[in-house]
Amino acid sequence: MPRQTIVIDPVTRIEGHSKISIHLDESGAVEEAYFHVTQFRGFEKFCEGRPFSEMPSLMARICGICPVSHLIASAKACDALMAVQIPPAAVKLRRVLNLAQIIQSHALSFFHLSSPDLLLGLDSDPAKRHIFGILEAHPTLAKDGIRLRQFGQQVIEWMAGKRIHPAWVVPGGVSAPLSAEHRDQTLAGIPEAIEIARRTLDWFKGILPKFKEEIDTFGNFPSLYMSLVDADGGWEHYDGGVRIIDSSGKILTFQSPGSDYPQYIGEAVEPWSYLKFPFYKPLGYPQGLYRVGPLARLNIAQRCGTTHGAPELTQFKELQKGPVSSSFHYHLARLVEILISLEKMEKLLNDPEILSPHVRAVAGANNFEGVGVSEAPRGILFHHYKINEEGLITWANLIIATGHNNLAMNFGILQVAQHFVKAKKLTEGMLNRVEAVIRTYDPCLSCSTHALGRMPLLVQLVSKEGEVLDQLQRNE
Amino acid sequence: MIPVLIIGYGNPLRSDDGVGWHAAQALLNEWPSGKVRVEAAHQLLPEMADWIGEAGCVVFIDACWDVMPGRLRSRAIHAERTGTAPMTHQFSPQRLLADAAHLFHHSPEAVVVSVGGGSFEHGEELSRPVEAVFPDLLAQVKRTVQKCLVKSDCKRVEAHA
Repeated sequence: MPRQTIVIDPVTRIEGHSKISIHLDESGAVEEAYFHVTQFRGFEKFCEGRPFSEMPSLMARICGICPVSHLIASAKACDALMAVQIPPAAVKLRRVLNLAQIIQSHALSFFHLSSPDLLLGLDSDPAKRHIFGILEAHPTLAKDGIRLRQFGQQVIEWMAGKRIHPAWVVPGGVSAPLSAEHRDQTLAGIPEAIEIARRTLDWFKGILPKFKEEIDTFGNFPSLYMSLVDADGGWEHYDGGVRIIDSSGKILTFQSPGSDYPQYIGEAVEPWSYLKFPFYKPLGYPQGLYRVGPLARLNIAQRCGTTHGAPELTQFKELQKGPVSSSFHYHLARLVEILISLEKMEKLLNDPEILSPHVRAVAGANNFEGVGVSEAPRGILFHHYKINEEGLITWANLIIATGHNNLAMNFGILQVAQHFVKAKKLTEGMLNRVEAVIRTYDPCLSCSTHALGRMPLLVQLVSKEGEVLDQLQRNE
Repeated sequence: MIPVLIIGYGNPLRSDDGVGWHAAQALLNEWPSGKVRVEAAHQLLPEMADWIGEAGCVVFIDACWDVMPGRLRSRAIHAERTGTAPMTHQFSPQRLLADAAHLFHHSPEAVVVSVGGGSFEHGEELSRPVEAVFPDLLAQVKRTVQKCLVKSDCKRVEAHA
């Protein structure tokens, strides 16, 4: 039997454009699998020459789902260029905004993109396996998803003026204080949001045993993990230090400030993808594979300090001795993080300082280089800028969460393909599982396109001679 | 329940596609009474079913390509369980009404006020025909809202009687 390649193009229910190719050996066994990111953005290049003060607004345009994450990391890089300490109220306001972002983005990932697989089944009819199928078959869960995402989006609008691409976070702080009215409106919505998060978490934990095979094979491998932690090693999303642990939980990097990331993070490129492949330098490429995002944050955090979140974090850690290694558990980690984020938001909003009118430090450029680090919903985010004497950007490097997970996603699809794909006869459910492992990471490839269900898909089994042996096609 | 909900949607970076968004922006402060909620959005989203489920009447404002550039069209629409397209970019007002009915047991009266677009290319400006008709578009939406408000008042009076 000649070597063959199966191509899944595009990958559905993720943000952005990509395809997967699965290479089979002569015996029909899966030999290699690649996750190709087929779009090119170029933000690092075309911001060159722009004043650094424009960067947060420019960078927010990277993404329609998580503009707030880029806004915050970019503003922090600009704070470093200005060498200012921003007012305490501004830190708290940025934190609340970032938490709202995590809530809405995690809700989108869980309810809109992945729940069709979880509720309707990975082998269910693809004609119904999308958000509309959920709306019809499971209206209560759909309603919960709608309400939760709505809440996160609404908080972003109340605080930052608009839901998508707000410009409220600026170098030195935020552009305007929070009104008491918006604080109270947000606080009023938190109890219902916590109730929804709790209900969904309890339901999801109940159905987890049904997915034992997927838990065992969906990107379940030892790896390093990286995330921010607070001064006590607790769950962190805005400040703190960068911590890296190995697959046994041993701390490799205790509390890096982030600005020194080039010492331990390298970035490799491959000719078959536009997405870079970051790796942990001391282990080299590709052995320095690590994961970021909800799974990494919960694996690394020693505590979270919230009433509902703390027991959930403890339970999560009990799933496995040492770090939880299955990427399938990104889903569970996302739900736990929604709960933690809601509680942390409530605490911040009940601090009287949140209404302080002093929300911005003003300064010019005082450094030629600045790094901003924060946790985006999908994982740690680095913005690194260099400027000239006029304050114009001369160089920029961004390492986004999805990039950090690139090696892990590729390793994950290989593992799933080797377990589920049988070369002689392709089934839709088989290939959906290959896509579904990518969805666990909730990759955000451009965030300009939101695929919520079926997309046109052509999968061909082609012999070395070019003969189509088998084919599956979806048309819209 | 809010008597009238206006959703003006479209991409303001794609010329006339953003006319609904521009119209909603222009109408944001038109009704300080709180009886009309105005939302400007880049696209329709499943979350909007929640708003629709709490509205007495909905007015959608959008660009369209199947009428002459600069022409206005106003038509009543009803809930339809069609368009299970995977992309939210193709999510229809009819589908939103259906989802509101299914999830929140309420499907309000709804009208789509559309403008024929002349250009959907990259750009923040409206094409000349659409720019010229923009004041008429706002006037049309205001008339529609007024009718909805009158109906809403009548219903309230009937309820009290």
